[in-house]
Amino acid sequence: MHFSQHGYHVVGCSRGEGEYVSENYSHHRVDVSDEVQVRNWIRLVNRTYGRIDVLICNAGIAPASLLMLSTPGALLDNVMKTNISGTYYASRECGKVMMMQREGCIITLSSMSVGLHEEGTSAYSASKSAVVELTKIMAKELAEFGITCNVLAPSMYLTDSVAALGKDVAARALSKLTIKRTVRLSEICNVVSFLASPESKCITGQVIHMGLVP
Amino acid sequence: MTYETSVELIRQSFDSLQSSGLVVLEKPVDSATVLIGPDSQLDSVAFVSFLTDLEERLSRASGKELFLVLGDIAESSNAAASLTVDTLARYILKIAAA
Repeated sequence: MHFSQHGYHVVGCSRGEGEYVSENYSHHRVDVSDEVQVRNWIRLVNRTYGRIDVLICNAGIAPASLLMLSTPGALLDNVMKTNISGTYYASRECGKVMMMQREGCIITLSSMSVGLHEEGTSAYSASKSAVVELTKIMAKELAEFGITCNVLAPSMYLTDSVAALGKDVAARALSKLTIKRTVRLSEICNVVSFLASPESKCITGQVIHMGLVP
Repeated sequence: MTYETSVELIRQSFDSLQSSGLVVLEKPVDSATVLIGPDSQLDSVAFVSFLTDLEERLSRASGKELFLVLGDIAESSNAAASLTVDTLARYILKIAAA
């Protein structure tokens, strides 16, 4: 909403129907863990709008708190497929488009959980840690094409996924934050706007932590 | 899609790379031109740009979404030491017909 109100044409996706309606927003049903769907979607977006300036990889799932010893393989696969494969596929396909246009900005979403090493989040935290490493490598590989790649690691923002972690995990995580409150959407948008700004072309491979000193 | 069309589209992608300064062609592109392997004129960056450009041309020419998957190309090249324009053109015919 923030970006569609600030002159961007925003194209979003989810596995289900979108709820947000705006003149500058279009929604597509895409499962980001499906490589073919992502390829087709990014190609469609590029054909429709002629370019892709900014990619924000914010799709992610956080399973309910589970100790590593009791985490089923299927759940681990599901988390990895959405959180890391989805980010990988979208970044790769958009990276090709941005490479041809010789500029672009990729912003991936990690999590405060990477620095907290919180019990019960092994699958989620491992996937978000992988996002950080992926982004730093992309930053180095894509720099010569004028593409910046950065990570935003917000502290707790109240989403359905966070609620699914359970109250205990949420309360414990909040107590470990440097700024002991949930982050606001406007604060997240502010950092994304900063990273997407043309004046931030020299910032790449960085992780912006919100609310936590890692 | 014919073999000749595939080779022509590959040639156009090479021309595009050359005009954008990503590659300097030392000899004309023909079916024996090596894309990956000894004597290739493409470095890894130029090769990715080439595939991306070619995918777009193929989709426009064929009217359907075609993707060049490196693993599949390698399989169809019968473990040859090099990937040539000829191999790629034959692979394109295969996926276009599928």
